[in-house]
Amino acid sequence: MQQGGYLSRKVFFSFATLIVVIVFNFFLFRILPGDPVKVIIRSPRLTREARERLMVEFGLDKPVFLNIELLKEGDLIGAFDTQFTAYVRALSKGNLGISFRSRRDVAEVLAERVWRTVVLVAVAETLALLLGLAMGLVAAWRRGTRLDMTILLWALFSWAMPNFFLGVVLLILARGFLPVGGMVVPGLKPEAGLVYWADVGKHLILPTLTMTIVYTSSYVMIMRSSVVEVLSEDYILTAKAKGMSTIQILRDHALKNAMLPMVTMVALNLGYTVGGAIQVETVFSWPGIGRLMYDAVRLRDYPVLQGTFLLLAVSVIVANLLADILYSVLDPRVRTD
Amino acid sequence: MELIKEIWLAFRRRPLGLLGVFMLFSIIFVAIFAPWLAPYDPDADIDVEPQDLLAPPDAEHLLGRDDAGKDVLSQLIYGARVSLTVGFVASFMTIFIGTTVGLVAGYFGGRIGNALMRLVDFLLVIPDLPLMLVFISMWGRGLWKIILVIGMLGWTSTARLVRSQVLSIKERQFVLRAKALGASNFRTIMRHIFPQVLPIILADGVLSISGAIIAESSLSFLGLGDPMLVSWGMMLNFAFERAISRMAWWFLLPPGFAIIWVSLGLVLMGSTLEEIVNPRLKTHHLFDPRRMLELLRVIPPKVERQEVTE
Amino acid sequence: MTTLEVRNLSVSYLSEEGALLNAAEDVSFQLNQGKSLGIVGESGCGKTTVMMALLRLLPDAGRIIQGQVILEGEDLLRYSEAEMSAVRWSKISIVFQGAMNALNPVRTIESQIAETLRIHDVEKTKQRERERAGELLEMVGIPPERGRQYPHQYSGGMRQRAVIAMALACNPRVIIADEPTTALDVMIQAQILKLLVRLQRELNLALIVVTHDLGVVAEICDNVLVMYGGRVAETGTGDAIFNDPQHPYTQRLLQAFPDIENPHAEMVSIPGIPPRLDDLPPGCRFAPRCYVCGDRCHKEMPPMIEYKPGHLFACHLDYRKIS
Repeated sequence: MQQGGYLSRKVFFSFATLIVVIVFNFFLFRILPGDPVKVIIRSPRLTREARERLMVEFGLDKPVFLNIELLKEGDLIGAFDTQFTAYVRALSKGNLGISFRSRRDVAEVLAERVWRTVVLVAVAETLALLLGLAMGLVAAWRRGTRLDMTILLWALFSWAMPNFFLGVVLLILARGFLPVGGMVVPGLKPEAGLVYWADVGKHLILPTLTMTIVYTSSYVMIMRSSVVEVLSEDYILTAKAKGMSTIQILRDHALKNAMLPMVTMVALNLGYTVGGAIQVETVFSWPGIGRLMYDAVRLRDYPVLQGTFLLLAVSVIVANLLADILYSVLDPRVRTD
Repeated sequence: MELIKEIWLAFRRRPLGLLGVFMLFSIIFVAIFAPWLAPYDPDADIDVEPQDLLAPPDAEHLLGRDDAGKDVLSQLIYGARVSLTVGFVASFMTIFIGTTVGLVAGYFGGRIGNALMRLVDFLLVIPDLPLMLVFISMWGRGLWKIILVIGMLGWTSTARLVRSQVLSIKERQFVLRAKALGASNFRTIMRHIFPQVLPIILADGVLSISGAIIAESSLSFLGLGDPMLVSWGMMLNFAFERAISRMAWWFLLPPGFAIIWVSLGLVLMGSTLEEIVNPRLKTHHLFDPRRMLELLRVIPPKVERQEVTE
Repeated sequence: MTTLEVRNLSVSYLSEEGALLNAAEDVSFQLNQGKSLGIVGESGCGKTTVMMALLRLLPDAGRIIQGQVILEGEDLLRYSEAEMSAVRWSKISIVFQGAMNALNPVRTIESQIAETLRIHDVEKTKQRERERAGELLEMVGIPPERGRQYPHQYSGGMRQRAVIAMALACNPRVIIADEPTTALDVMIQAQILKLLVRLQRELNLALIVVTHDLGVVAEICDNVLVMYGGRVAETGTGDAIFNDPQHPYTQRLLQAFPDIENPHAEMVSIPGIPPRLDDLPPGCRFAPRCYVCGDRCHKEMPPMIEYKPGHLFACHLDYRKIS
């Protein structure tokens, strides 16, 4: 199949990256000083049962990666009976450990909070893409005019601003009008139905606004330069010669070509997107994965930190792969590889 | 160097770029002359009354006082030193690694090039801030640790940029000639290819400084900055954790605006440099078509014919 | 009625400093249905500028200073932009120089041809549009099924033919081919020329071919217009120009081309270079390089002289007086 070459390469690469991340994640927490293993043992916050359970689960009584003596004896199975394999085994069962602080399953905590971040990021990214597309298109079309300059300066300014600071500024400005923290008014439960969700929505406004403004900036800039390049291509002149109006040309010829770099940009930006989520959730106390990571850092809750990092890394890898697939759908040139 | 002069001349025609230069150098000035500019010494011990804590601005403290009673303005001025140091050193590291990797990957190509690019792709996919958070929280806080962490993760985009440039340069005549004359690989790279790539690296470098400054401020804000040094990010961290409920805007806002000031200055400089080095198209095909006929004279002149007189 | 008549067309470009650079001055010609006109000249002589002016597709800095472009009795320069859009492609179409890039890489060939039909309401249904696109491709020798492919899947010669097919889609009165064979290898060039000749005959097209290659003109053009420095140097039928050139530039141009029947003839090149737009000579544009010019030629613009009916050239004729 024509689409085979490009896509299968990308899938293979994503898979390989996934493996590396899993291994990397393991070693990261074992090798660095502040080895959580030792901390686990010493932590007074765990009960004896929990501690023993942890030791068995993570095989803390076994060697880290490879048992050399057993390997020399020819005992392959025994040689690989290590912390690493225990980690992989636990991971395959969806076991990410136990939070130091809450003593709950890390996986459970993540599952509980992940949708909150997803909502925030999804809404912000969508708005940012639409705004970036529109503003970038207009700026490029009216290249050289004051409108173009204004849009460009705005984009540069919001790009130069740290995410968290924008959040702080908006927080100060909106004080009194909008809720400044959390997800819902304390005490309100999902059972309250529409009232609950409306309140969630109100709490969502500021964080979403912050992230949208920040994300839009890079999309505007990419779209703008991409559209100008596309609009100077020969096939645009041909379209004019065919008697098409400006709107028709923009819609039928320019848009698709100009959006291709956007797809790449979205993919490249995903790591940055996640970083932004951490900052914004911290500022607005939005109880998502980002805030969870911040709290885990503060409280030295290493299992949570490790689990969150793994989740975030995996998400970005998967999202990148999806973006690559989308790109191949949009650009026929990469398909026949 | 010749290059600097050329760039400066191009800058003179671009007011936004000059504005950026001014913005950056004003902060550098403040950082260098901090001891003379700051009204108080932020490290000095002072006696504080309870009403001094988070005191709003007055004649003696133009930006008020922080939660420990210290002068905000002085901390702000000294903070420039930390932020600039991190920015410049980390981005230098970034540029150095990125350029080296890019040059090697682009010039040698083949398996080395592919392997390096796979590494770049891999690092690009890992989200930056979470990784930095993990590193610092495991490793411990400290200025050099922050610089290293930022430098180690930021070089990927430079590497890609340099590599694609090298790929297009290395097939050019003068490079092939140099190699035919027997120039070693190292010499070819340094004397022929590198000077061509330098302008692009410069533009990218300026932009990466702003990235490094913002990265440091984010890390500090999230509580992972060097506790001994008060950077703007750290000020924001303190302000957010302790002053937000009091709405002490004099403590909350100035460090952020300082970051924006230097960052925007760098961004303006960097974009201008980028535009000088890589001039962008100024017009395209979809302009106002009415201008084409604005000079058309409606009455056609008479056509003269002459008979051949022979 | 003459299909296309251009009278005293002058086009300039606005420089960055605001000066007007005269790219084409006082250009006039006529074209009838079923005939082909070759416009010849060196690069920069203004021939492409004139063509773009006919369709009002000049770049942002282009200004039409004077003239009339009369298509079937109507002066196109009086049309509004909307009216002009309706005329483009449906009455006059163009095959651009470097047709390779004239196609949008992310759309199929078929859709780009069908698009022209849709814009000018030529066909009623999408089905008909596709069929017509297939017919057009067949006409230029491309299997209709290949219409669903993308430009990068076509060879250079095929792309050129596809662009020609696209230009024919709305049955225009006039087709302009700007350097249709440049950047193609010789074998493909011959194919394209044969194709153009055949199409012109079969469809009774009024064809304008812009080129710097006299060989192309000799092959397919009934009439020839020689341009130099933005002005018309000589115009006449192909026979007249090739067998009895009057303008010194035309004479030299013909001498510069190798003649297969006379392999030992001396190949003469014309010393000097064409004038720069910001440094145009006040008199005859060719005077600095002319081998028979006199004093007057440097100062006064030469008039168009009718040497024989239909054969005109611009010269002061001083050299005739000398010999």
